[in-house]
Amino acid sequence: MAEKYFVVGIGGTGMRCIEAFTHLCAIGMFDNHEISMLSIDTDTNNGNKGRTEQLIDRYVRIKGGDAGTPTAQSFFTAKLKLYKFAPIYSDDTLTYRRISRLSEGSKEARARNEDLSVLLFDDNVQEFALDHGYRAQTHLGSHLMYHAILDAARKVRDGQGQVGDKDLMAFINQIYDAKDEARVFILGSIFGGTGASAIPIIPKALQDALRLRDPNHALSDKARFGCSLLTDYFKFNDPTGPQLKDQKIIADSNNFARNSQAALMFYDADETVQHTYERMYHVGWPSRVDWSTDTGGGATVTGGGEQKNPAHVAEFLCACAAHDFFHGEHAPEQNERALIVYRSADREGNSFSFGFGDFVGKAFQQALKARLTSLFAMAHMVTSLEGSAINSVKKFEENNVKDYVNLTPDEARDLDAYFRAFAYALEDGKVRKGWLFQLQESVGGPFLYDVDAFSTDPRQLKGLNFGTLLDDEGHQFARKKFLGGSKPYEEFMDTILKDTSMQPRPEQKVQRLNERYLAHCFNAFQKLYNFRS
Amino acid sequence: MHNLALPLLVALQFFGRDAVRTPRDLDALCLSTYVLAAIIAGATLLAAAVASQLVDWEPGASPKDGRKRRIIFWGLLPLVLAGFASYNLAVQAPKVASNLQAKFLQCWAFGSVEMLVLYILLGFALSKMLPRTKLGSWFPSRR
Repeated sequence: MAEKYFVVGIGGTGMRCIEAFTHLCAIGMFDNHEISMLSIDTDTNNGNKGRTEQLIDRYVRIKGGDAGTPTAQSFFTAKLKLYKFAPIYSDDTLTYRRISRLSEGSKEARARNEDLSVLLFDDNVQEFALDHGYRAQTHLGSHLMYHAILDAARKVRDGQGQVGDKDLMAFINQIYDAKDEARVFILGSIFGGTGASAIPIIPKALQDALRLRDPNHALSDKARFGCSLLTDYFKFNDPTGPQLKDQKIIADSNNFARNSQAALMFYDADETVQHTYERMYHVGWPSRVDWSTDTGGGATVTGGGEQKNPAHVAEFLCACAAHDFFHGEHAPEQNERALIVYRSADREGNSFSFGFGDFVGKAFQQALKARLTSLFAMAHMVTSLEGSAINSVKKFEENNVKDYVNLTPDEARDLDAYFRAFAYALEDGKVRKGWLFQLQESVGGPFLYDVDAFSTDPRQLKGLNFGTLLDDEGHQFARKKFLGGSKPYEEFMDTILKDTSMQPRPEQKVQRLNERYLAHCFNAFQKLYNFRS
Repeated sequence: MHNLALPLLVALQFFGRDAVRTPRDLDALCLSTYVLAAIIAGATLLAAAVASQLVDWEPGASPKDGRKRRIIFWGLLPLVLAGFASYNLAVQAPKVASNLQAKFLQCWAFGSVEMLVLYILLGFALSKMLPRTKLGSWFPSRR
C-alpha cells in the first residue's frame, strides 16, 4: 500500500504555506499521488484563506474534480482534495466568555468557572472577538482549537454537523483509512495566533476526535506526523491606542520574536508534542518584511478580507519541508523525541543566493529546476504571448495538431487563471505580481532566474527570451545568435509541431484533454531546456 | 535524366536564336516556353517556401502569420505571371514572324496556364505533405 499524504494548513500563514504547496503540486513535484488538504482558519473571511482556497479549487477543477486521477512527469500531477474547517465565532460564540458560558449555572459553579478562567486568561483575553483569529494568544487558541475540533466531531456524531464539521471528520477518516501509511504534515507559523495554537494540539485533537466519534477507532500509531516551525518573518502596523481600547487584544508584531522563542521552548519541553511529531522543520528568515497596510488611521489589520499578504519564500520553504517529509528516504525515527531539522543556504551580500537544491535537496533539485522552469515558461507564454490557453490550442489546431480542439473555454479559463496566480497577470497595462514574482520580491536579490524574467514592464515581459531563464547554458534554448535575435516561441512551436515524440506518453497517465495539452507542452519544454533523460 | 536534358538542350539552343520564321522554329520556341514556365513555377515555389519560412509563428488571439504566408504564396503568382508575360511579349514575340504570332501567343497562354497549375498543384501538395510546417499555412485545413 502506497503512502498517503495529508497536509493541514492552519491560520493566515498556514494558508499561504498551503498556497505554496499547491504550486509545488502544479510544478509537478508529487507524481502519482493523491493528497488530501485541510484548511483550518478561525477567520472565515480572511483574504489569504480565500485566495488559497480559490487556488486549490481551481487546481482541483483542472484535475477533473473527484473523478480526476493522479498523473506523472507533467504539470499538475498530484490529485488534490480540499477539506475546509473553520470554527465559527459569532454571536454566542464570539468570545471565550460566551463560548465557556461563564455567566451560566449556579452561583457556586459560576464562581468556580470564573476563578479558573481568571487563573488561565486575562480579562481582555476572555473578551476579545475571536472572528479574526486568536491574535497571538496561543494559550487560549490551543484550548479553543482543541475544543472546536472535538465539538465538530461531537456534532457529526449526533447528526448536527455543518459542512465544515463534516469536512473535518471526512479528513480524519481518510487518515484513519490510510492506517500505517498516513503521512501528515502541518503547516503554520509558530509566532502568531491560530497556527501557533494549533500545531501542538492537532495530532492529539485528530486522534481524540476520531475516538469521540467511535471509541473503537484510533489513528495508527505508525501514522507519521511532521510540521513546519516557521518563526517570525514579517511585521505590520503597531496597533493604535483607540484600536487597542476598542478591540482589547490585537496581535503586536513587535512580540513575534518572543512568541517564536516561547513556542520553540514549549515544543521542546512538551511531551505530547515530542511524542506526536516525528520531524519538525525549523524555518526562519533573517529579517522581517514589512506588511503594514494603509488603513487610513494606521491601524493594524487584524484579519478579514483585507488580510491578503503577498507570498514569501519562507512559506515556499515550508512547502518544501512537506515535500522532504513525504519524499525523504529517511526511515521512521526511532527516537522518543521529535527530530528538529533545518537547512541553510548561501548568502551573497544582503540576500540569499538560492539554488534549487536549497529548497528540495540534492535528490530533487534537478526535478525542481526542470519542472519549475517549464511551468514558469508555460505561464509566461500563455499570459504574455498567447493571452489564453485557448489561443494556444487554436494555434496548434491551425497547424494540424488537432488533439485539443475540444478543450472547453472553461477549462482554458482555469488554466489561464492558474498561470496568472502562479507567475503574473497583465491588468490595465500593468503587471500584477503572482506567487512566483512575490517570492522573488521577498528574497530581495537574485532568485533562481534571470532578473528580466521578473520585470514589471509588460512590454519587457512580452519580449522576454524565456529560453534563457536559467543562467546555466546547458539548459537554455533560443540563445541570441550572431545574426538575428532569439526566438523562443519559434522553437517551441517547431518542437510541438514537428517532433511527434512530444505527444503525451503512456507513463504520464494523462487522460483528460487539458492534462494531455499540459503534458504535450511539458514534454516540449523538457526537450528544449535539455532536461529529458 | 535524359528526358529532362533534351528539352532543356532544345530550349537553350533556341534562346540563342535571333528569329523564328518557320513552324518548326516555333515548335522549338513553344517547347522552350513550356520548359521555362515549369522552371519558373518551381523557382517561384522555392522562393515562396523560403519567404514563408522567414515569417515567424505568431502567438495571440488573432495571429497574422498564417495569413502572411498565404499572401506570399498567392501574391507571388500574379507577379511571376506578369513577369513571364512581359518576357514573352517584350523579348520573344518580336523575334516571331508575323504569320506565327497568333500561334506563339497561344504557346505563351498555355505556358502561363501550365505555370499557374504547376505552382498551385505543387504548392498544395507540399502544404498537405508538410502540414505541421509553415508551408501548411498555404492551404490550412478547415476547422
